[in-house]
Amino acid sequence: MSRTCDVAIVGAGFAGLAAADVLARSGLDIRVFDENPHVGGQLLRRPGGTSHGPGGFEFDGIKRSGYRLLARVARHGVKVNGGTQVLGLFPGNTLLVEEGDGKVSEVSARCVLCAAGARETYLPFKGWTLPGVISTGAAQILIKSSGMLPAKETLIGGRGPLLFVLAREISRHGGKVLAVLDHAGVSEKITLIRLLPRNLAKLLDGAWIMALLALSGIRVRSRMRILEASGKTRLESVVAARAAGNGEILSGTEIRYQTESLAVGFGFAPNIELLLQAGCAAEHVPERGGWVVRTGEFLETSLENVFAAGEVTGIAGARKSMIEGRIAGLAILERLGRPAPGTPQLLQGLARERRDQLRYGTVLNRMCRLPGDWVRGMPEETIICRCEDVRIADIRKALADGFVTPGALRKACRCGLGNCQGRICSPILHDILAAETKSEPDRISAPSVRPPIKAVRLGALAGNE
Amino acid sequence: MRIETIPKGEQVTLFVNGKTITAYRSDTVHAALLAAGFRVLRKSKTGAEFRGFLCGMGVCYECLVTINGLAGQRACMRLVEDGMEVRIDEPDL
Repeated sequence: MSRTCDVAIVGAGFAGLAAADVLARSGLDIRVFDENPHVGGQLLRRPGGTSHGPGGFEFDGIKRSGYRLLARVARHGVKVNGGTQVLGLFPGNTLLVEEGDGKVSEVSARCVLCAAGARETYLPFKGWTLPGVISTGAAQILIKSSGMLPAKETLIGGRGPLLFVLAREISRHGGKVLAVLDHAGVSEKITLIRLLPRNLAKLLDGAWIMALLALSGIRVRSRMRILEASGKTRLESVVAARAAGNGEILSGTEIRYQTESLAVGFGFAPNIELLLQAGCAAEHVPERGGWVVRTGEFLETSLENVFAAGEVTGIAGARKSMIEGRIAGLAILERLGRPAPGTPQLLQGLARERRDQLRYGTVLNRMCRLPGDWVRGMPEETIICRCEDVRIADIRKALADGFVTPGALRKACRCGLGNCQGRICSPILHDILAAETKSEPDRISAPSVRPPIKAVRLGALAGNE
Repeated sequence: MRIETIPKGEQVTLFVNGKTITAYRSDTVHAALLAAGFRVLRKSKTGAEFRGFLCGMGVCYECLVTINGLAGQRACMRLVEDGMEVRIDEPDL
């Protein structure tokens, strides 16, 4: 791999591809990296990672745009390096990159765009670590990439619209959905949905899915909380119960489901680890999904010639990511002294479209946000940090001993020190700290991130593989 | 469980702890293992619990297996190859 390029793009989802599309037209030398073997991000997962969509007409408008984008980027001759991890971003805009074969090298770029997307967040409950408890995203990936259902029968639980999308996907493909256990209440959802005036299409989509679920006889239960998953070596049953408006579990409402598969979804968190490691300013904005990178009007970060686009600036879905990819692409062209014709007008239009999508994002993130009371009743043995087997009891004890920041807790009880480097537990820990120390959420410090930001073999770092 | 209505690619053979399983060229190791019934993959770090797949997208590092002799590989991030040898620490099959 050559050691220098004009623009390095981290992430080949909607944001990264949209930027690549804009940049490649100007003949710049661009490099795109994605750790997934396929190109197109989470939304464009498809069997075998084929370069285009599955055959036939794609009904989903945004996916259709995505496949067109994939085709254009391929036509421009942009090389997307799949299966390639970016391990760090260092001064001089030098990226440390690990290719699929374990070869580690440095690539320096005049501009870097981080479009690393998002991951799912979780609400821990007793037994959530049992094999058979998976995320709603994992279930979607099985269906879309491998044509598989997680099991014959699946129970779905959590918050947010994706629970219903998954239920529809499973039943459409001949699987059985035992129930959809929605943490949110009906009135809560109606209040939020009313904030969506200019997103009629999304409302109609939602109504359509709900109607289809009703037609397939899928039971949707509101204000249900998952209390416990149990089984000997793998999931065998799940207990859930109804919660009152104040979050208190209503006794006598417990239901036990026998199932080997539970898919849970509780919203999303931006993947800003690379930007945090590089030293970009970040801020905690619950309406955008938690910790997001701070950006200016043209998606520039606080570091020179480092830009950010897509979910890393705030969770709002693929359309916003595509818009931001274009904005960042145009901004980078200007920065490199090759402005595209009509840039100011283009940017104006994109800024307007972006505002609408940000409004949708606010509603989405509020729908997924957990009520602050969830930490209170959590049983002591509940695991918080899966990598290091750290339980809420360990954290409560450390907090009582005065370790009240994410960094101090990491040292006191190893929470966040494992293989995933805190990606799963840090959003959870943020809520725990807010609840147990009664701090304002924006007073809690961001997780500290050090290179390499993804697990890598020492031999690979040493250049021996 | 495989979805019958979705067309599959070419079949490949994998060896999981010495046992032969078949999968399709486009499968991740994760999908191939799940299709063969492997849900449990390993013990947690302190040995207190059994673990399997969680996120399916390379974030959680719960699905670590040994692939062709290389330990600590994420099953969800690797596509299968014909003849691939996979070792699971704690199979419950």
